[in-house]
Amino acid sequence: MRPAIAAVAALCVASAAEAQAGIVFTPHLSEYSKLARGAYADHTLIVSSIEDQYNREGEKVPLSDPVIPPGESIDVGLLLARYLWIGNLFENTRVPFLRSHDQLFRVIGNFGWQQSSTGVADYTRQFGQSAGASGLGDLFVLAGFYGAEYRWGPLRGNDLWSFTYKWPIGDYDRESLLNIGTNYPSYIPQYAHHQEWFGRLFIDATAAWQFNGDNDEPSFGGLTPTEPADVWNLEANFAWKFTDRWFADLGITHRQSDGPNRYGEVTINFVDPIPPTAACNALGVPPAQCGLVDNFRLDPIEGVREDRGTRLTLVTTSLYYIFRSSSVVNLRLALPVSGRGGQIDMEYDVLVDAPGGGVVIPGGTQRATLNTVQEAGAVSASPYLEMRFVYLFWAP
Amino acid sequence: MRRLRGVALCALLAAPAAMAADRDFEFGRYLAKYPGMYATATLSQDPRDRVFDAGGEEQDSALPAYGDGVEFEQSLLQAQLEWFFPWFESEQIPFVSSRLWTARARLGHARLDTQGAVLDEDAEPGLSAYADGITDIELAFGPVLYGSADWRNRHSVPLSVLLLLEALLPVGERDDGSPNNAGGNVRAFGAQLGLHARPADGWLIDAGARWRSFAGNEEPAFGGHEPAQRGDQWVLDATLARRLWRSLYASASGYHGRGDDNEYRNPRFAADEPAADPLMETFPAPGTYTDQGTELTELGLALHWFATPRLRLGAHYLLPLDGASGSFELPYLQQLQDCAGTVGCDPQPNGSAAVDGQGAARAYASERWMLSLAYSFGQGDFWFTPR
Repeated sequence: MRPAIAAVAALCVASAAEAQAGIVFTPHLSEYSKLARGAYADHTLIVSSIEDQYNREGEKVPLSDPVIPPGESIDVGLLLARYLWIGNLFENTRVPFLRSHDQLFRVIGNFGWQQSSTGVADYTRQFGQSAGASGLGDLFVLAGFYGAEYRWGPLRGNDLWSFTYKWPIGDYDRESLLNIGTNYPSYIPQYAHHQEWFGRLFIDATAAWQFNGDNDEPSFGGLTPTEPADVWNLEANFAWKFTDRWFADLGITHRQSDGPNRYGEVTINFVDPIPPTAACNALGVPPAQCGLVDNFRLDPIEGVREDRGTRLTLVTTSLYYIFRSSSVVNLRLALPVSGRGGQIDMEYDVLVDAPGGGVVIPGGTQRATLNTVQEAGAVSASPYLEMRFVYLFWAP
Repeated sequence: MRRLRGVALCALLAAPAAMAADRDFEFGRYLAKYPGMYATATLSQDPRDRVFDAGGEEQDSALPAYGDGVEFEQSLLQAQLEWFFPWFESEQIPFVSSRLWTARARLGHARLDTQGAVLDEDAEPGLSAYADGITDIELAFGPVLYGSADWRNRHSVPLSVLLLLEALLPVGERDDGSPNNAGGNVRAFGAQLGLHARPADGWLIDAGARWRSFAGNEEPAFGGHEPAQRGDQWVLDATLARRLWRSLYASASGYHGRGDDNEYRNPRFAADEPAADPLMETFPAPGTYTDQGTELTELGLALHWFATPRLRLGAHYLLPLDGASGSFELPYLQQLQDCAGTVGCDPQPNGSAAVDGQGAARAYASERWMLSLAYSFGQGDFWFTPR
């Protein structure tokens, strides 16, 4: 591979839009405990400045590596609004099991904003793409029920079974590096468990499998997967009660794709032709002949590409303050500790611009390594901060 | 009973409401309330068919550079959630535990329409008329500096002072090819200091000052006619309200806002660009340009009715009195068409064209109506008594 032209083709800056689904499910203090019947509102603001990401080797690299000088970033703001109702729809019926086990229903909406810094935005425009996104995110709808409850001396706990559907109604632009919506549905069965030890240690853990539907309209020139891999999640949170009002926790989250993402419509390319000076050296064209041509073009070769799958391990730590049994204020820091992002190898034919169409240069095929983008394809290696406010409308 | 009703009514008066964009005309907006949640919805209709130009003259167009008849009609539905709560009350932390705190979130949805000869798809492909949907979200948090120390005893306090630290989360819908967007794509941080007083029976006063600073906009809309860097914003507002009869109130408000100079980066076109000489092509000179800032003075008149102790309805009439929009002169260059190499590629000045700043740089002169509805989710036992 000739490096210069390959670099030209690899100008697709990786974006690392925060994984919405992952953030939505990261557990907090008593997230899965048997809560009192009632309506709960939970508003969470998540902010991050993504300066680093993981490549397919699992290395932490600058966001713009290798095509833009370091120091660029993508600023992210995500506001989650979660509404939870706990009660029993079957209490006075003969429906077995459910009449004696409370149910819960949850709706999670989100509003998002993402904006690239100047260097990334300028670069993105070369591909005819925008470098920012804002608007409504996908809608998450959850239904579940509490399972077994038990108490053994100082230990008590309960199960929780649920199913979540991610309705892909979020704002989505095919010609954008960043998007708030994902444009593919997800179906997420989940098992969760809550334990309390001596009334001091609170453990919340969950296992979930995220079945992802296809995306027939990939964005950013096809660098979001047409067939996002399923993702499995394992998460645990350990909270310590200092007083009735003060808690702190430490959590770990691991999510990993089940195999590779598949990219079936990669078309990312420059809007304008490539100047001869950028291509001739790479192709070994003698300077005398180089002056005879105006411009070069790249032509993406069709095919389905696969990345190596994605994964992320996060540690989280939080501080909680609870007042009047009806409100919780929570500040959390999440720190990625390891991960792997998506990258694919892409081939382009090289054409000399000519009247009536380009002429393929024999043997001029170029291969470039492209960073894949957005929720399914990119993995942020930068920390994020979460500010959360929980409100119980009508305290029991 | 009458006293209880009066207490509840007055507390609802305090529910913040009735605002268009970042302007708040509701009386009682700086009053500290009893802990609980308060929700307010407002609906406003603004034709946005007139502006104050850079010289302060009223023009029959939202964009005078594009001629008369340009309208950016807007229907705006906003919802504000507001909480008052004690914070760390049992920790005895100086300053923090001895007072109430408040948090606010304001969300909106805008329906937009653009009328007039604004878009020239042949000259500038990729433009769109408008991008409507959800608006940016305003978040605020801060202490009641004065007036809440004795909230547990529910004693009436005729004076309260609030300090709010604010943030703007730019999640609003937008299209960077559109001159008329629901979202601004700019984060903002600021502070607001407000005072509420009841100097006499049935009279209420609110007065406040506000400052906001804005982050850069990496994708300014409509070919760079939207500011890439908004100037700081300063606002003074005041409302005088009077109980007319039972649960019916009237109010008069004044608003004055001033924005520092806005910066525009590499605008890509203008409405009336200069013609190029024969065999030449013309284009805007790359660079950063500034306007002379923005200004708006507005009068608001309103009637408020407490339908129930928890529910308040309002109708507002808002009249812009004076203002100035941002605009600047964009210099143009020209050079030989399709020039290659260095021959003939030395751009020469070719006059200039006026550009109307977009988005936050507009100061609209159109009158508008607004309806508001406020509801208290609290316990109804508010902590102050009107005098």
